[in-house]
Amino acid sequence: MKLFKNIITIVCLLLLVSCSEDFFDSITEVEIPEHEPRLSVTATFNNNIRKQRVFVNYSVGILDDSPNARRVPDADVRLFEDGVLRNTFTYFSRMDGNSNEEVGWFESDDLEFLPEKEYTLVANSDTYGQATASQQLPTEVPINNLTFKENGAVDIYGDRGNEVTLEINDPAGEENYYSISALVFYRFEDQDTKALIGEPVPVSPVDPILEDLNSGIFLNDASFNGEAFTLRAAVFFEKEEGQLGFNYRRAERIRIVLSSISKDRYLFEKTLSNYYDNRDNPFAEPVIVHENVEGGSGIFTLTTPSEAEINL
Amino acid sequence: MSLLKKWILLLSVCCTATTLLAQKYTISGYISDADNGEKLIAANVFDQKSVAGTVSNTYGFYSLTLPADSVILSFSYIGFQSQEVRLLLDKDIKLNIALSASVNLTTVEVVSEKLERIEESSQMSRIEVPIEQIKKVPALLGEVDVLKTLQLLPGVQSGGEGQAGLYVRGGSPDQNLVLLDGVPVYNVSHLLGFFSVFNADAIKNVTLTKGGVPARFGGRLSSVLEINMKEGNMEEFHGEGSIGFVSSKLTLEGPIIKDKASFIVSGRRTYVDLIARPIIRNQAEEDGDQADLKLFFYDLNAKVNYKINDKHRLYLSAYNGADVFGFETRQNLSENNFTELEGNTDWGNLISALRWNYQISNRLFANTTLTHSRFNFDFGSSVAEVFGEEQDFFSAKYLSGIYDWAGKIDFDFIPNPNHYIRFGGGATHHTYEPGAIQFELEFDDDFQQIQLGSEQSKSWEYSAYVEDDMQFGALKANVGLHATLFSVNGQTYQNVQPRVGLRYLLNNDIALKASYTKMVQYINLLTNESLSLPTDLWVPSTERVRPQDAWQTAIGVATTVFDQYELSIEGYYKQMRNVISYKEGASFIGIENDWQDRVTQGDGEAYGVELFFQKKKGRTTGWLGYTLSWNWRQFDEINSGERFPFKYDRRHDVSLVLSYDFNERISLTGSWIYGTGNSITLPLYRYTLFSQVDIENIGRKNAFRMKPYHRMDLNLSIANKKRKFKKWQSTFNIGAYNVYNRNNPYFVTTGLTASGERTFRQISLFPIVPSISYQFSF
Repeated sequence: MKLFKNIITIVCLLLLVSCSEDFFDSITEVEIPEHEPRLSVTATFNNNIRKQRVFVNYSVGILDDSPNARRVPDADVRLFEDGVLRNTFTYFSRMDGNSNEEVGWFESDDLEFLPEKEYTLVANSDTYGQATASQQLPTEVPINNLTFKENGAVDIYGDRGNEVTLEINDPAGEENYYSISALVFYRFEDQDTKALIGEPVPVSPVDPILEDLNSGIFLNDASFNGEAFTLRAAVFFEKEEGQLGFNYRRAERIRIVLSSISKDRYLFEKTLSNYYDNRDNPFAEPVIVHENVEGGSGIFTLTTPSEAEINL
Repeated sequence: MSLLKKWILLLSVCCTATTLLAQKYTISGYISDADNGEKLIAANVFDQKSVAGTVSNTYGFYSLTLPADSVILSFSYIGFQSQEVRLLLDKDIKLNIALSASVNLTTVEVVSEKLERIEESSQMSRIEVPIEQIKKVPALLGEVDVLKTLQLLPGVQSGGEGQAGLYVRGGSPDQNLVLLDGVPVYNVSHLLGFFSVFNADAIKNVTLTKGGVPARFGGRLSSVLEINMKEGNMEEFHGEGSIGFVSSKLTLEGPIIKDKASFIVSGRRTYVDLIARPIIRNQAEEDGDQADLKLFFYDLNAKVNYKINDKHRLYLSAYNGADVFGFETRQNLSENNFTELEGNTDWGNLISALRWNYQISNRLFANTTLTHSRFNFDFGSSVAEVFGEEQDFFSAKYLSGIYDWAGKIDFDFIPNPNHYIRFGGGATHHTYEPGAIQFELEFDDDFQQIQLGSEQSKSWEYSAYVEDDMQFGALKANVGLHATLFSVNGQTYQNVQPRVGLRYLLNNDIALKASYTKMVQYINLLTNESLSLPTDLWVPSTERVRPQDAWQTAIGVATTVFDQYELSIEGYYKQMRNVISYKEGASFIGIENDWQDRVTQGDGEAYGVELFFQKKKGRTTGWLGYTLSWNWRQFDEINSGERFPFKYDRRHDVSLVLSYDFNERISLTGSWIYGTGNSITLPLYRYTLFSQVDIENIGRKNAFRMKPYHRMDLNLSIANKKRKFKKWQSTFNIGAYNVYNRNNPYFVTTGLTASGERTFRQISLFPIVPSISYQFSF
């Protein structure tokens, strides 16, 4: 009986100790580990463009109340080719008309990338430390043949559009990743103006091998590695729009751009798309957006585009 | 006589002598409870002269073959008085034994010296928990819970606060083969996992095997949980039940034909809805509307057994249990104009088994089983707007389930005390409904029905096995093979799974044990890691989703100290392949694509050390369990391909269960558990892409640890005085869950503070929860 009394006494003491104002409060604050701000770098370079931008910001803890754009204007941003300094970037900024916020970036106007060289982007900040990322230029894969058929395709969603087919020879012995985009050149005729204007148009997969992500059409060569392959996509535009003499335009030719991209770029686009699609779904599994920046966050990629045109 | 003839004569004499010397006979029969005729599983039979022994099988059958001689047989079983029988074994003998329950001591205290002790069995990682002990362990709201008691064992973890799922040695709940009378049970919990479906009053026996799984079992990676229902009292009518906060139970059993046929029926139902319904109705009527509520779960177990003769026996058992949540409201807008809104969430199991025991000979026993198992989940809601005789109607339903038909035959062959051979085979037909959404729309007399989601699929699973439990002096071994073939949509998988369990007796009290187990699993549970919902989908392995497999090796030492303390220490290492998980961004609710597009497969690795220290005798009984473990997962498409801790990776897991009997009537049982917090995924920082695209980064999957979980529960049992010739017995149980009111983590969510700042909050479910229940038997 002595043991029984002891146990009862202990339980009563525990109850008393537990009693407080928030005795039945079932919600408690969770302490999140403190985040040390670091640089976030975004640079998606295209080898056909000489003047391109690097965006440098800093990261903050998830509970920090700070503006979205956290620029680091005093960062030092450089590009190295096989360890040798190739470009130094300069900071520019302007006011964004839509958001009425300042937008800032680093820019260099002499960018050119060579195959089999390793390019390292280095951003340094006295406050946020150093962030680096390295890439090689993806192998150029030319479009061997391009065909166009008006209203000749039904995409994976069941919509009818213009069909384009691209014949390529996928390089053997390496993983290759691609994106496809299209530009239509319109002959614009108005009472006062006559011009040829290029305009991006929507592209949609016909073959399920093409992945329709938020920022475009992407694919990998897992199913045709090292082989000749024909890609089929639907392109949506009208050949003629408007009325003669009034906002009339006629599609004159189409340019298809097949970009060879790195695996990092492919994974980045895929996970970013997944992130946007599901970030408001409480039942969705969490998504990690792919990064390749060491010492910080973000993405650095190189792209090698190939183009082919066809008159409509 | 020629030399040749002399040789032949000598040889004949030698052969005859050898035959006579080696003449063996078999004692066989059934061991049962003298009070009610229930067959006793794993009762011990031991010949004191030859030091040979055996145990009874699941149906109480035993067979012991010994050299012709006088024998002193001892029959013993936990909680029963041992019985000694002296015989002259000069022919095969059929001997049925009825053991009487101990009268002076409580059931769990009594362990005969001649019972199979922990160090004697060739099997490791296997624990039997007496149902009487399960009934004593304190439980949430006083609801006796088989699965939650098992969570107190080393190597077994709960998923979270109040959850009934078992996470065994790094596995997940779908990797446990849960057998109720030999039939797989797919959904083992009620009320979002807070209560298990097993009604302790209807259960005879619970055994959990965490590793070293014998060849007769297969189909799951991590463990086998065998739960056997009572058979029904053969001698007299008997009942028991309980009244508690949450539910009431009633079990009735008795002979249909005395000593020939018996039945047992056991039911449980919750009654929150019965209390809440009138309140809700009144509230709605005050507003001129109508409302109704369904909110309950129930279990119904039934079993009939019929002894055709000494060699043949039939069992028919069934279980039906379901959770029913629903509401109906009718909002009256005018006399003939109203809106009806309905919502339902129902899920449950229906299982049944027909078994035929056939004692082919005194050394060969067969059991043939036909089973049916069904688990289905329906979630739906509908809106109807009625304008006079016209009606607009819309409904949406989410349906999923799995349905099995199976047949199997198992043989026990006991040629001599050194070999216990089991072999058999079976086939199971699965039908899967992996999550379909059905819409119905009626508008202006136009009716449409649309069904989206994955299509039904079917598969066949075949298995065959052979195993031998053998003994060579101090070495005991259980060696077997389990072979399977799985066929789905033209795709066939086949596997041979070796199983080995070894025990080497260092001396009378200490044994070294080791085991190797290969397991393959062809059906998968798609589960959302952030929630525990019955929306989890059972799906088959397919051409794209390969079967899961695992191998586990364990080594340990087992000993009995001072004849009343059992100690075992086991280390294990388990590798799993093709474990399944939702891809990043995927959710169970996605209907735009097939389930196979939403999942990915990867590897798992778990290792650790378990300590189990148990006291079975005396006024104070109980155990201490401690597990030190690591549990990893790696998927190419998750966490950038890097391995990460499984959500239930728990470095330390401690459980202490103590029961003290003050006297025959009053006992106090307490339990205390501690576990490292679960690993969860939280966004930890934000960064900007391009000029102003903000990304919330989780860093690494499951990188955040919730607070450790610990809790103490107590239960005080006070029984009425036992009186001779008075059958009615009752016990009051007074208990408390989470005695020191710890705010244990259930989940973490994000929210805003009063000043509008973002914050992360831990939600706890249960503060101190008192309970009182009244148990009775007659």
